[in-house]
Amino acid sequence: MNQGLISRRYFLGECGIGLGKIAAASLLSNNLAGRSLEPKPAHSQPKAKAVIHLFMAGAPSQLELFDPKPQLSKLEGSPLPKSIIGDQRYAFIQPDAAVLGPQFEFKAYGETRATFGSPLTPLGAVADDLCIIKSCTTDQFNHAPAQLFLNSGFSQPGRPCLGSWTLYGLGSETEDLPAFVVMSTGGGLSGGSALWSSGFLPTTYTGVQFRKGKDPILNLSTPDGFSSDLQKDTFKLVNQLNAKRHALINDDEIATRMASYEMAARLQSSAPELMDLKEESNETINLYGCNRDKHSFARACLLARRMVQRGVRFINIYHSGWDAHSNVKGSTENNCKQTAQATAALIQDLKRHGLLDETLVVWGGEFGRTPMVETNPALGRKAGRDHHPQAFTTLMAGGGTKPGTYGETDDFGFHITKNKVHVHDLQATILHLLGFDHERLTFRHAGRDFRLTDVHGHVVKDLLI
Amino acid sequence: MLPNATPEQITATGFHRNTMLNEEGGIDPLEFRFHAMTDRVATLGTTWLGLTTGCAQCHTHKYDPITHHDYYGLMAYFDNTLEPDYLIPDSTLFEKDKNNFAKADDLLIKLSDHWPTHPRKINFKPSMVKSAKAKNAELSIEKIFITPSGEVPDQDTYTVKIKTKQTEIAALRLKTFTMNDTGPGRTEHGNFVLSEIEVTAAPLDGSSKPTKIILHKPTASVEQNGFPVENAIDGNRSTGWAIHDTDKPIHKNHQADFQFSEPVSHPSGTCFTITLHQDHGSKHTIGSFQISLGETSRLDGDPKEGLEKAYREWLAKIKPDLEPWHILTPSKLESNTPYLTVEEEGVIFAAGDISKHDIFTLTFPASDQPIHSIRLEALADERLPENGPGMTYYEGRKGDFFMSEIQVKTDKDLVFSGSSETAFAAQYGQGNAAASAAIDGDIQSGWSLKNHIGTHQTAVFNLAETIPPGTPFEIKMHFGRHFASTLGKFRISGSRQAKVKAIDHQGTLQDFLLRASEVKKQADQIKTLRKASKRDQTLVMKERPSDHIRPTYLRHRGEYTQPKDVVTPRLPNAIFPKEKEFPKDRLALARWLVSPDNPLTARVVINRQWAAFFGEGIVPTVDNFGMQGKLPNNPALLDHLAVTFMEKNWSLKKLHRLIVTSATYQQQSVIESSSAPHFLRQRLEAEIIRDSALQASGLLGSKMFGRPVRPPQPSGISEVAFGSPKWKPSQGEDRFRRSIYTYQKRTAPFAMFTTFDASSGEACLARRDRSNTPLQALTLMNDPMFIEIANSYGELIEKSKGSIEEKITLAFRRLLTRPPESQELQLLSSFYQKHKSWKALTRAILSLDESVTKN
Repeated sequence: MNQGLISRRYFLGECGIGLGKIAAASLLSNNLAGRSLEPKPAHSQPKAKAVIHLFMAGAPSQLELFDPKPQLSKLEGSPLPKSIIGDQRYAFIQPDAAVLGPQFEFKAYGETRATFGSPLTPLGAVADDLCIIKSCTTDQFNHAPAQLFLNSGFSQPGRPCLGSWTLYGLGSETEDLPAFVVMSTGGGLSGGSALWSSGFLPTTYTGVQFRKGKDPILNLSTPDGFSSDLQKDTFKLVNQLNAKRHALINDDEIATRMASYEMAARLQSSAPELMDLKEESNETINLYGCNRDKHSFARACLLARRMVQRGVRFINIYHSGWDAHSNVKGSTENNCKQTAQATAALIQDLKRHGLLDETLVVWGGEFGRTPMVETNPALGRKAGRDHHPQAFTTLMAGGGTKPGTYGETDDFGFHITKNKVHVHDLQATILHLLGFDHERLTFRHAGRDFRLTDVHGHVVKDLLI
Repeated sequence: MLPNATPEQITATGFHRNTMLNEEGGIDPLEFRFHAMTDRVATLGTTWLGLTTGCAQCHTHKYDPITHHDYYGLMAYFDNTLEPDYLIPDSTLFEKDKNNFAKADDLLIKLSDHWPTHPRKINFKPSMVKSAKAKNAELSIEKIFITPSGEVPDQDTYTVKIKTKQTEIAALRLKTFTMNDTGPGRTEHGNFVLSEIEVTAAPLDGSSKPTKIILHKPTASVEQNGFPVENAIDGNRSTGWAIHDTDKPIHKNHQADFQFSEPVSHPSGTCFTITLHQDHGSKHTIGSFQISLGETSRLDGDPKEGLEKAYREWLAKIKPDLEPWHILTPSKLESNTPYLTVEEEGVIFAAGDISKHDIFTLTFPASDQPIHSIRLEALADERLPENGPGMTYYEGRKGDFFMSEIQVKTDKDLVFSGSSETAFAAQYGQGNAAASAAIDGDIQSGWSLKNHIGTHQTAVFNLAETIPPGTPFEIKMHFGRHFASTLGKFRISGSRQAKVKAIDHQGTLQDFLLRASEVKKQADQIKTLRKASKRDQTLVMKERPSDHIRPTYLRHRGEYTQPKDVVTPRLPNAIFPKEKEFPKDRLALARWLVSPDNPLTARVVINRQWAAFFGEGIVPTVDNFGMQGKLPNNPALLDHLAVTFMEKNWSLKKLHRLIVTSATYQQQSVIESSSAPHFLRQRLEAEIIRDSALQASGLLGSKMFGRPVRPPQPSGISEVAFGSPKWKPSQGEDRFRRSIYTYQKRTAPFAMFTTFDASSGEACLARRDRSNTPLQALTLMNDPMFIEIANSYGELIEKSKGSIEEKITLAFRRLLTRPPESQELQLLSSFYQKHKSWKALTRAILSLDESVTKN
């Protein structure tokens, strides 16, 4: 094993701190357990090198934001035709619940005439960069299963998520930061940590949470009472002792561990450097509408751009709070206030940094919302909308996607009438943009080869440049 | 299933209850039950058989001889179960409860003794208090307490006005109070003289003038020689009542009662004016007093008389609701999901699964009595979650129910005229979940208990017209909200009365006393004593009765929504001979698993143990003994160990001893000391890293069993978990218990374990990944839990005796089980010389590769 020899020779020659690139290479190219983070070629030339997935957890209402249905206003107060609803059952409403009209004015923007409800006005500025898929559909009716389904292709926890598959296939381009980062704003997630789990893939591919507290990464900062001098000396001592051990028994795992301590030490400075926004201009801060220090969706978006600049491969930003069972109008306004400007800013900012072409931005929830109103005095709810798996809207930008609007729904926004894009199709398409054939990106587990798209999924060619 | 199962054995069935549950409003609970079933089959395969069964959920296994039918045959073993909570028997609590119940019974018998001796004394807030001399009169609202203050006058006259709607006022009590160490009078020795008390009464509406009340039959708690209480009503203001009796202490609360010659009643209410003349002089005035009025002429009369009167009055009020009910027993019971059984005395018990809209249809034979009202008793029972009466087990309040509608039908649907209930759930900001909500035609509203779980409660539904005798009828009950919320135990009765209301008692004297405000304190004590102690509970599995077997279906493409053929319990032919009869149930399956006839379990278990010791199994694919797995490196060894394991009565301890004392295992240390490549080194599992660090630092607790504990972990750990649960670290010994006792939450796992590749517990895993990441380095160096461990470890070394070198050697050996080599000692020593901190040194040792690696 070459790399074993290299590191052995290296450590025998010059043990101590400052192991640098060679040890890092050992960490990254550690093939012992097939868990490499070394950059790897994809199946074909990728369009997107990085993905920023803005996950609107709780499910935004496509009927308020993207898919204007004047027919619903006309029908308001009466039920939908029975033939439309079929045997769909709901959690909180009866199938014969009355229809609720769109709550906002819609306007068309840009050359592509992309249509947005008024709370999404800021997106108008990037309308011509957006690939708007109005015909997404999922199999899952509930939040946790649907969030898992969108992330991992399966409704139950235990399978690798999109970010993990990406790392498994492409490896990492950064030596100073985790390659798969997860941030979240707006409250708890029903899918929990299974949403960024590597499932049966090696745990190295699990998303690393960047948190809102003092330490963006758990245990990042040196504990109180330990001087930086002591911390440095401790790193040094540990690596010296590890090197001695390595010299004696020549186990590559020790070299890897030494490299991991190297990277930990670097993380202690690179992560705070990443999080420190003082070098960002006021213009940029204002563009996103964030505060340099205060945790928010907007700040997470700006951090995502900085991560992409530093080689982070996959970034999940979860914003939860879209589950508008009551007051869909107020809820939508409130959530858009927190997310719309920042989403537009992220796309603009990536573009002016020349990063949008190779960065895929995805925006969307786990399903849509019903054309019917949800009202339930017993639960204190009115003018809301229930879950709607049949049709919802997802946005993509950059990374090789084609701007424009794709897919159509019926007059009620209930069913898809043209160009259906199933969640598995969405996954196949994202993998394609990353350079993968979704049918060939597999992992052998429990006696069979698993895929993100299970045995389904088609790349939607119409969405590609 | 096991005959005469012990509590431990019953508890052990909970192994298969560690499946996941989804509480979202939109779920079908039975679909998630199916997901749990697939988890159970997978766990059976991985744990006992070393087989991957998952593929056969959707179709016949591609590689292994497990057919699609075999898969559901395995599932059938688990499918015929109920999944109740089990209250763990506790003899200490049982004894305690038994004593408490006996005490409660005893107190109940004596409850009437506590009926107050002033049964009808009522205290009023005076509307006006006036002192002729003093500047202020303080009036305490609570106690109706008046304190004339300021310069104490020699004489005074107090006027008190009391307004009341109460009728039949027939007596008055003047109670005087001591003030700190003085009083009740204003003289230095505490005496006073009440020269005269005068009372007038006037109707509140002013329809007539005040009339003077004639007072008679006075009594007093003390009378001074020459100053009897009669003097206060003799019309002579130069005589009076005083309290200085030389035989008794004067500084006490003293009182005098006066009776009215005739009771006073005014329909509009009465304004009493009470005048207290105190003309004796030399400050013989009252310092602090209270006036009460009484309905009965004898304020200290026979308590029994008052009790009897009060009981009679109460009984008169509730009499219409004490109408006899006759129990109605249905001739036919139908339910869409749970199964219903009639138990004794018309009680109906529901068991099995529940759905979000359960409908019970009860058919009743013709009654020989007319029925104008229907009573539904919701009954508590230990077999139900939190003792019921409901079956709610997720999302809503455990043990509650939600009856959205009740319908009564003869040859037509009957209309209700009213309803009542003994308890209901108050709903925030909305109407109450009262019985009326179950007859309003709205499926979204209903009757529910919420804060009355574990108690019997009753609802009565009055019909607009009578069901005549001789008419059969049907009652339909709908249950459920956005979660399954079915009633578990109940009884139906009928009454001929049209307006009868729901009550929760029989109208006995004891029933009255338990509800009377006069003896509330004692009644509350009885109620508290009657509450059974909260026992620990655990999740278990229970077999469904033979007349309610759950059929298991083969699911086309593995989908819950596509049931096809019914499949009975069976095992794949490859592991169970065709000609023999399949184990018929879970118990028989368990017995077969550990029988010599089963070729797999013993081999699978010893192989996992072997892998734990040597890093690799004899069959390298520890999780797969199927066609896709690898062949054993040493079949004879595998068989030998498997047979020995069984012969030694499946003792893991004996197996471990056999392995570690073997030449093969001891050979490893020889290899280790040479510099030859070493394939056995492997990083320790997360839990073992923590445990060995605790052991080295002297912190590890040896306590066994009990509730899970929470070791410290970094703050902000659960910020994205649903509901942002707080992680409050355990204190004392619990903080340092073995990692196996650490609390597990699958959506927010313990961070250190996750960092070191522990599974989040979503599926049964026979092998874990072993990663090697910077986050692990940060955890070992910076995690508050490891800092705490390093601190104790450092203190332990600091306190030990010996030179610095000896101390370093001790620190090293405690964790690494070997002395440091000279170069190592040198490095450690110079580190210590520079930083002079044992804690810093132990922290570094804890962070070594060797410390987290099996060598």
